Amino acid sequence: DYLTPGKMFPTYNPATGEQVCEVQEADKADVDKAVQAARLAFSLGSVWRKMDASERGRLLSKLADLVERDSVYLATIESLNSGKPFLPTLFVDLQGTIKTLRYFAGYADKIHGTSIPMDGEYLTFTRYEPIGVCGQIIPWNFPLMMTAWKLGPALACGNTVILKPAEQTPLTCLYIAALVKEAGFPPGVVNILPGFGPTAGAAITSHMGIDKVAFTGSTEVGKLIQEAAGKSNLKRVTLELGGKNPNIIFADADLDLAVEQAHQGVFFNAGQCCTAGSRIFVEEPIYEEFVRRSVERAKRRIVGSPFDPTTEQGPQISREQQNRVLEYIQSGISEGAKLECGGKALGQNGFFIEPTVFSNVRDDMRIAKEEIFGPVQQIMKFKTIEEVIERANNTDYGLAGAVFTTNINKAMTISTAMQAGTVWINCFNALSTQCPFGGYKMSGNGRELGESGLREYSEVKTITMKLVAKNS
Amino acid sequence: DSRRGEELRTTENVHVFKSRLKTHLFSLADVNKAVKAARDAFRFGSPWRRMDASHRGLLLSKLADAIERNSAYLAELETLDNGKPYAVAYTVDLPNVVKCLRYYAGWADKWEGKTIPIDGDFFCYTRHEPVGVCGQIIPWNFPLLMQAWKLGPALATGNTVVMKVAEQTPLTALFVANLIKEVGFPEGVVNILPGMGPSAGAAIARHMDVDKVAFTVGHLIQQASGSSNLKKVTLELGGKSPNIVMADANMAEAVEQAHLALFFNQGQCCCAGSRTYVQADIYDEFVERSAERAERRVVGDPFDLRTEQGPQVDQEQFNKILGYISTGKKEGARLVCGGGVASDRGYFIQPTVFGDVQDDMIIAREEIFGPVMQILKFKTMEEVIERANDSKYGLAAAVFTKDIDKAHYVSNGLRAGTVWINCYDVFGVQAPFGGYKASGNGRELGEYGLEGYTEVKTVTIKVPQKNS
Repeated sequence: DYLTPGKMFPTYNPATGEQVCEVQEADKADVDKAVQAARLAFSLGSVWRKMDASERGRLLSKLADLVERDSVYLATIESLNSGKPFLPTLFVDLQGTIKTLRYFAGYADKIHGTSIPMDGEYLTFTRYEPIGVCGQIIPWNFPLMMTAWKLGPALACGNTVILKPAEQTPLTCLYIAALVKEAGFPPGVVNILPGFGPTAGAAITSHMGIDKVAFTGSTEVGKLIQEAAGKSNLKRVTLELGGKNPNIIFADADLDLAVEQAHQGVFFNAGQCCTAGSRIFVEEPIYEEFVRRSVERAKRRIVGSPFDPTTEQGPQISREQQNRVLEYIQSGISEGAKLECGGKALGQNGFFIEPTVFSNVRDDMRIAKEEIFGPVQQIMKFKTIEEVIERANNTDYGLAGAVFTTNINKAMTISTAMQAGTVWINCFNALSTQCPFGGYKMSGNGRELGESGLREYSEVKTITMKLVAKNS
Repeated sequence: DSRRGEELRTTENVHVFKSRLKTHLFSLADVNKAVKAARDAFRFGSPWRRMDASHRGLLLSKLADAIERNSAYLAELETLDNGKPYAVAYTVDLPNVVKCLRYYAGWADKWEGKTIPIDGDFFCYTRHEPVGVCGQIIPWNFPLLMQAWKLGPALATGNTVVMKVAEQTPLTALFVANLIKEVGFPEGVVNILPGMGPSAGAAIARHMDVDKVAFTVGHLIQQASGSSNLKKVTLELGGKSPNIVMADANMAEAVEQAHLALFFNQGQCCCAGSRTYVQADIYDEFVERSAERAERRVVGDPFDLRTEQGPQVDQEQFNKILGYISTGKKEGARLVCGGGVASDRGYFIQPTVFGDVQDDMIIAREEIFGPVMQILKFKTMEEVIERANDSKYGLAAAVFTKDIDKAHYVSNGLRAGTVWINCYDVFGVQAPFGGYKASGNGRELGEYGLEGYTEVKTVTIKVPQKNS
């Protein structure tokens, strides 16, 4: 149910830089209202609390059907608002969104506690209860998918939700709000508030009436959120943050496969992925050849309008991001990395950047240590497996990693040694809703997706009842 | 249209149609064809084996949707074939079929193996693989529901199926077979055969190329498995389930629940509460009220929405039940109401209540599978637990009491796969169901229901150096 319009803020098409429309802006007062609604919807005896778990699943399933029904429209708006190429958005983002909702729809009535043989004359069992009112703050790089990743497990477990989409990309999330209502979720269960981090976002993270906050975004903001949670009501916190993900290529790898996967691994979504394989370690014997092929591939990458079906790469999300990436490229050049191709902004309108490749990158360069979040590929050289493991792990991040090799022993060794929440073997960005995803170290805490995703949205209650006489 | 109106016409039409159908029933040769198709659909590299688990789930979900769309028609067909009241088929059987398939659709991509920290320089994990070609033999008392209970877990886990439906009630399963094709299951994944137990059913149980058989009703299956290829066997068999009413129970609720526990589905439930144990202090009143309730039970044309009880499924059952009633009278049980035929046409039996039933009477020990209620008296909690357990069966049980300690003491003590407290016949597809002792082995429904359709493969890989 929509609140009366107050403050508005603009949202843009990053392919042209033009304003698409204005959107209502939520601030602290609106967050308070949303918390009230969500808290009411969560009260004992409410429609949502009394609903069969299987029925919660039915509603999520219905939402998935509606997203599927409107997928072309949603993909169009997503492309317009975020600059993501239309066809991949339709075939990857929308499918990922639908599948995630369906997956968690299926879990709603399968969240099992246990009955426990404890010592003494007692019957004990656990209930997995919803946590309560969950604040969810999502980023602009995959607006729809991130919405599904957040709503899916939260609603499957029976929570109520206050979700703030990124200020750059509010449109598809607002449309989802309409579908949530159409699907038949009770009022107050899902509340969508477009707004800015420092106002609406901060209000959510420090709210005394919110029981949990889930955030996907930068490590820098993630730290602020953890602090705010501690300072307010110790709300539960899960964070999916940045990465500087190592992609290790051994000399015995299938070179064509490795080059293509490493290319897509860093350039996908114009480099705007927390999983971007932005440190590519190539074993010395194949290094030169690998660089040569990667440069050739990058030069072939088609940058253009998201609605052109041949486009592989759209614009960066904003002028601000574009400038940031260009600044990193400059730092790479000035720190002595070799600029193999690209390096400049592209075109007059919008926020495009040429696919850029650096070779001879040293581990201590800024482009090797910091998350660029743009179409910039770093290729480094390594000699031994022990050395590359150490260098790959030498980072505060730990989101993902990959290894390309045909040797089973190397694959097992690397995948065990890598300090990363997801390790890919002979593939990259292979994500699916059944698999837990999340970071080691400063790439975050907690896991999303898979059964693990449910644990983060449940509170476990142990109930112990005295028996007259226990029997096994 | 000639179906509506007199029960006479209904029964005769069904009778004629069915005997025509029986002449077309499949012979042994067709079991072989079905097994071959199922085996082919299961071969390594087949579309079914290569399919994403989530897509198997999507197909099950679509089947649920298709059945839901056809609910009214399927309920009519079910009532025509089985005799259960249409109102019940439409409001109970059909929705539960849909829910069951949707539930298992959700499990398809969530049935995970484990990775295991074994000793040594090894990486170890388990895969949950399908068993293979599964023979499934289902009964006539809940034709559609039993079909869903079997197909759901088997298909979610990736098996292929050869299903023999009851010769008494083949119609709805055959309609569903068409829907299975329509929603897009690959060829050979599901094979539905009407057939006779002794021929088709036995052929499946004996078949050397069937990896598992799941059966509702009959112990010969286990022997057949042993003497053929040791195929895995899960069985849901009969019961003589005790329903225990303590003196402090809410009398009105207990009487109504005990009534439904026995009389639901014309008494044709494996979990029917067919031994109602009532504590001495409230015994007489309970018997009186139960008789009064039974006399009020509306017996009639299943297509009449007021009907509570339709006919028994066929002549054979009809005769068997009347035989038990006669035995009960001879054994000295007190016939409190009913006891005879309810109509001069069809297989209708009066709702019947026996009081003063003793444990050693045949009507207290054998499964009647009809609208005949036995009420027995007991004194103490310990006594009734022992008497309740004194049965070869162990499918379900219930206790009615307000006292929290009694409720848990009794439910802990009863050797039964499902125990209800202050309720009866409460099923959820999320909750496992199955029997202790001769009521069967294995569990259906819930996550547990997946186990019988899974082969666990342990994979152990040597690694250069194990680290935790």
